[in-house]
Amino acid sequence: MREFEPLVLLAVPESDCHVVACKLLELYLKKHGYRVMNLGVTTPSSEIADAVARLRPIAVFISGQNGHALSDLSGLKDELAIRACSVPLFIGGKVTLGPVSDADEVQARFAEIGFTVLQSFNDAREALRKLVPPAHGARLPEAV
Amino acid sequence: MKLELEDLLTLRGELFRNAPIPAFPLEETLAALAARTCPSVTEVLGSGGGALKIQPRCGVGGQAEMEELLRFLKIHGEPDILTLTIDAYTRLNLYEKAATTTELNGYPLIHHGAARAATLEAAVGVPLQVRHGSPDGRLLAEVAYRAGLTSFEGGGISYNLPYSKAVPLRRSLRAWQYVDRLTGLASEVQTIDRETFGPLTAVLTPPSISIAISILEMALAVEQGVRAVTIGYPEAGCFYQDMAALTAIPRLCAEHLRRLGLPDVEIFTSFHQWMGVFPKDMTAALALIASGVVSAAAGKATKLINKTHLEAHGVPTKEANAFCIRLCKSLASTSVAEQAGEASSERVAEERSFITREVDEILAAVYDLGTDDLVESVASAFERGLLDIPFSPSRSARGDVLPARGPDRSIRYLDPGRLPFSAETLAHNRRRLGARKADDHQRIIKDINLLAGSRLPGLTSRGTT
Ligand code: B12
Repeated sequence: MREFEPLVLLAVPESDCHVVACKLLELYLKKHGYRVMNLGVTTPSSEIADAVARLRPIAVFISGQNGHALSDLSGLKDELAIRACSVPLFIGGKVTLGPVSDADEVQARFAEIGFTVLQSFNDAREALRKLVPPAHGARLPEAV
Repeated sequence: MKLELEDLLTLRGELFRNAPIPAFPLEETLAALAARTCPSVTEVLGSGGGALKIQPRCGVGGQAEMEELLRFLKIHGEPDILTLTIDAYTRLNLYEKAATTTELNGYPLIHHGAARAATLEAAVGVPLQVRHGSPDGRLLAEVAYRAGLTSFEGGGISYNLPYSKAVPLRRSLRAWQYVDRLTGLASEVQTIDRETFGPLTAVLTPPSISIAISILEMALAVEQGVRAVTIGYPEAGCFYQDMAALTAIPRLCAEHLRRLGLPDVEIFTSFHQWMGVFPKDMTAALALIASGVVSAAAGKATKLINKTHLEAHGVPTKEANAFCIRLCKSLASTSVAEQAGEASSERVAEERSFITREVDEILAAVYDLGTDDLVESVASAFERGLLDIPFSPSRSARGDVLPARGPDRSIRYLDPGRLPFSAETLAHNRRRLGARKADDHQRIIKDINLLAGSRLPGLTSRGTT
């Protein structure tokens, strides 16, 4: 792959061990032409911020499943600011606790900590397309 | 090797020096266990002439909310055993975060402490088990036993490799050696049940990997003086494979304890209803839950850990949980469930012999690395890939194994990685996988999601509500 192909950073938050969705997102984005660095599960916000400072990704995607995403990620904005970094932050998965949640309220709560909530992998790809077009081929995604 | 009591006490001193709670004398723990009035988990498991026991998962952050949840489930679900499901911060020893976060996905036992936990069991009169997912569960065990609780889930393999990425396996194995030694000590005044977490990553876990790892954790526990072990087994979703696995477990456990020169202990089985991706459609979810009860009963499992129709949607409401406990209880007493086990077929017997052989082949290779320090052999077996866990997020598992489903939905080894299987075992797995059409990557995603799909015409995966 060429040096300048855009890099995307993936991670699962500090208290969360759910690996599958994040792994599938990695495969999905790679298939669509992005370079992907996946930091894996139980990643503290400081580690995410360090990786942003080092790798300068065009976006960060978090997969949060265990319902702790808000408290896990509440410090990430500050961690990035300390390192003088700014990068679009996205999150998907089961981002809050419990079976019912009001989508607007969820979006607002995450906006406070600097995140945009996405639903599907396709949303992730759309968000990336707005930031920078992928290196090759805009083939339609296959459902995973 | 059994940890010397002196060494345990030294380690205990270190543990409490770095703990957020003050140390307490071990005598207090033994006194609390001796003074219990509620039946112990082991007593419940051994009672009732083999009728399937039902236990939910349940845990919320607040003390009052937790008590209310347990009371509600007791009254409206009538479970045989109740659970303290611990939150994800406490599991990862992030006690400060557990103490300051308001919305938790479980009960922060360390934060609330032993005295409060003891009032929970007293309030419901149903024995409580602590279920968590902690690579280092030492402090949790200390507090659980100090609260007089009689059952503790987990192990150095099964509570590390699915639950973290950076905790080295040797470290979690040593931490759990402590837990087992403490349990052994406590067992001198009160039988304590130690349960293995057989589901592992819950993503297409092949039965023989699950059972082999549970047997190793059982052996490590018995070595330290544990006298009652429950083997956790995850529903595979193929009726005869599940029945074969469940009925293979007691014999395999007894046989391997003997092989290792360890004493006989009480062995129970715990059937986890489908642990992977669940259907969003609630009717399909209930059907999956119902069929799991039949498999558990047919395989003569001691107990079943139930799921709910909200599994795919988030932590279930107490109403949904109570409803599903009752559903499982009433299904378990139908003639279908009671008699399914009698209709044991040749196919089950054949499958049982294949599972038994796979487990024996894996364990023989581990024992070949030496059995005087089983912890070291297990760690080294993982490094070499003789033991492995598919889809593990941990750096301590190679992750070379790739499972897939056969046409009968049984879980097989598509790629056995470096597992020490004989040519016969490999050929058997290939045969049972059948011809493969889709490319492997797509097929595996399909297999992971197989039981989450709704096969009812007219229902989308989005569900009915
Ligand atoms: C498998 C599983 C486990 C395994 C995980 C193994 C592993 N290491 O990965 C085990 C058994 C270990 C486990 C443990 C726990 N689990 Co769990 N688990 C599940 C389960 C069954 C499937 C999760 C999964 O793999 N999904 C596969 C992915 C691909 O599917 P998906 O989640 O639908 O993801 C889609 C979308 O959400 C979206 N998406 C996901 N991520 C992202 C990211 C981006 C950027 C975008 C755009 C989209 C996106 O796209 C995906 C594909 O369509 C779910 C329930 C379910 N879904 O059926 C519970 C579930 C996620 N677990 C849950 C919990 C709470 C836990 C525990 C904390 C225990 C507990 N208290 O009950 C522990 C974790 C401890 C910790 N430290 O985190 C809860 C979360 C509750 C909530 N948020 O309200 C769930 C929902 C179960 C429940 N109903 O209670 N779990």
